[in-house]
Amino acid sequence: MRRATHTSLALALAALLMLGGCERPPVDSVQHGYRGTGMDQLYNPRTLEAQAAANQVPEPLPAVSAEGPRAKDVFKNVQVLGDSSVAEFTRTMAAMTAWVAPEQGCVYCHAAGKDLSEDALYTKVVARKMLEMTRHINTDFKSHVADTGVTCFTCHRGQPVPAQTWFSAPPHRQTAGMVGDDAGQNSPAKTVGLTSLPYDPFTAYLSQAADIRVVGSTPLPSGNRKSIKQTEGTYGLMVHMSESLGVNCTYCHNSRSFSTWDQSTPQRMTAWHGIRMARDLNVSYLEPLTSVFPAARNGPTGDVAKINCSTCHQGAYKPLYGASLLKDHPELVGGTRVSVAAPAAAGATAVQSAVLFFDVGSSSLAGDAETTLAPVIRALQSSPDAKAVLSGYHSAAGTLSQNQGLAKQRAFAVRDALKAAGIADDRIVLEKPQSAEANLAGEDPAARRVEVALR
Amino acid sequence: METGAITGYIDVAQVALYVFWVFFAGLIYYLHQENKREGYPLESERSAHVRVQGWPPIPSPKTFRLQHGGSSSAPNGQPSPQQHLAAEPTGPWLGAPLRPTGRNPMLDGVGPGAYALRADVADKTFEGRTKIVPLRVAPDFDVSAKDPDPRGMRVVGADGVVGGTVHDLWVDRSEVLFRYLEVAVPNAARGPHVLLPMNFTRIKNGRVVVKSILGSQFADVPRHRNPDQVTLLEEEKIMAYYGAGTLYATADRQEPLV
Repeated sequence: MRRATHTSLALALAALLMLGGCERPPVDSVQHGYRGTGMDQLYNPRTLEAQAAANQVPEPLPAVSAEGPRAKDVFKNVQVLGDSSVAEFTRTMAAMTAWVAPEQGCVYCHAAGKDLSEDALYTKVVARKMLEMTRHINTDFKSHVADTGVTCFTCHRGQPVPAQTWFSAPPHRQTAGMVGDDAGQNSPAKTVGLTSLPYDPFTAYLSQAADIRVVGSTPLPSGNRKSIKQTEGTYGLMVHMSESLGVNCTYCHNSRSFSTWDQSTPQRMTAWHGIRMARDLNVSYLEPLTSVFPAARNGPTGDVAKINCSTCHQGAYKPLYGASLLKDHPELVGGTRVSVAAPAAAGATAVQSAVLFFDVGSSSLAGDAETTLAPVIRALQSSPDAKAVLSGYHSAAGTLSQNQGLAKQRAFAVRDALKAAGIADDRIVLEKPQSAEANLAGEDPAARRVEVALR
Repeated sequence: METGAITGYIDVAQVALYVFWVFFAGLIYYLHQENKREGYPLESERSAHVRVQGWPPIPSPKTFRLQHGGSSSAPNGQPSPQQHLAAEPTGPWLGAPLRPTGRNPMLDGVGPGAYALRADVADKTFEGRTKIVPLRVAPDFDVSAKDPDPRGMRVVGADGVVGGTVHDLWVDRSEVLFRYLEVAVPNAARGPHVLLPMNFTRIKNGRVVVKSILGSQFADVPRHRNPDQVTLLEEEKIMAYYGAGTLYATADRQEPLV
């Protein structure tokens, strides 16, 4: 009897140990291909909840006037942001402090007690290069970042050193004999999702431009000299991309034919540009900074910290779930410059619509709602025939009735704000709640919105 | 031309696949023919001049030379030994099931109680000794000290009635496992001991439980002639009796559930 008790106890413990890596149902699934093709994304809502908390965007700073003298005419050593107004320039500096070094403050890049124009600290040299890089991304890589764009916050998230960067792996051991050479693989590496695939997929593919394609284009052998080992290298990179975006292969591929583009999803095209973007940024912006950084900031082989997919994405299909900080910071777009629509100037132009975003599960107006609604209210006041049409949107995740109820509550909140501003009840039209397209993370900040359109 | 191409359309992979299909078809034909070494030609209602064997045909006989003399061949061309069953069809149509007609359906050799007419000799070990014998004859075997010893336990039928007590265990000398329990049955007219196949028993909580027959039915188990050995035919009959119990032991075992 004693023996039996011990045995069953040991069995129960062993069963518990084996269940260590389990997640409990239910999970959310998002269909991503034709039905029956198995192209689905699976999400654990508990994990996503934790991730969503880490992907909150900071409150934007109040908009300032784009009028007045340019920064380059006022300040002494402005090489990148010279076309901004002085007010905008100061606002950018404040934003950068909040995004990169909120604890250290301005003195993180400007040496205390010295003139602001001096390049005394290496951090300022790096910051200038990073500003150029950000403007380059937002201008020249719209094929990857679209209009969402990136800001300092996308990578830094309030930390001077971004959480997820990469260094080249030290050269693998190459001693004589059978066991001497690990060939850069065969250890459980986090970079490749704890597989034994080659553990440094970045140097070859995201710094150098090694060929990722290994699949031949003809059924019979006709000169494709790619090896199994090269294929494993590609697999390593693909595992990294998949882990970085929190998706599986079928987010971009139909795995029955990884190489064919006409069976892939549109996301693969975006990712293609992303790979080129990461290479470009590493080669043109980060590697030139190698000697600027103190040696302690650099990697085991003396190389600078570089960018991969997880640097920005950090496990989300879009960094910060696609929330755009760039729309409040047009100075971070190079080339054609979009002027900031200051609230004072907005009334003059014909405002047609406004969009208000809400927090998860909340129907109370955000702090900036007044600013957003002000131009609409002015336009309504100036043309007494116009009506405001309110449409509440909700994401496809969760139960429909609950979502619709929430969307309705949000629309009511906007209606009440308009009424409080003196708009008559009969000039406000409430539309039915609308479902946004199935968003991929199950939780899409862009879907939690109420649109106000003038009619 | 690309590597492996034979013409613009035919290539080595395609040829290899068709070669495999041809081999595979031959293999299936061969295996189906081997399937017909027993039970063929089929019994049918067709003319006696028609040999029902299907396709592929029955293979030519293969002879097994037996270790302890004699030989056996397959197919052996013998008609089914059980031509005259104690059973009648339940209906006049073809394919009607049989219904046992004897006094005790468990002894009619019908349905789950059917048995084949095997040789009426005991199986032998490699050395030529009797293979399955009671422990009293094979003193060099015994029950493992870690396991319950069923000797002396009461044997209980499906109805919970005690049918007898375990008298001895029969061991397979070649493969070293217990094949039968020898059960002493009370008031047995035909002999004091019956064999109970190990596979029909559950030994639990100090008793032997048999689900296939009732406690009272142990008295009718077919007996083995020699108390210290059991022939192949006797084994068949004993097994068939317990097998018959799964359908005939109680009347409700023949009824549909709904």
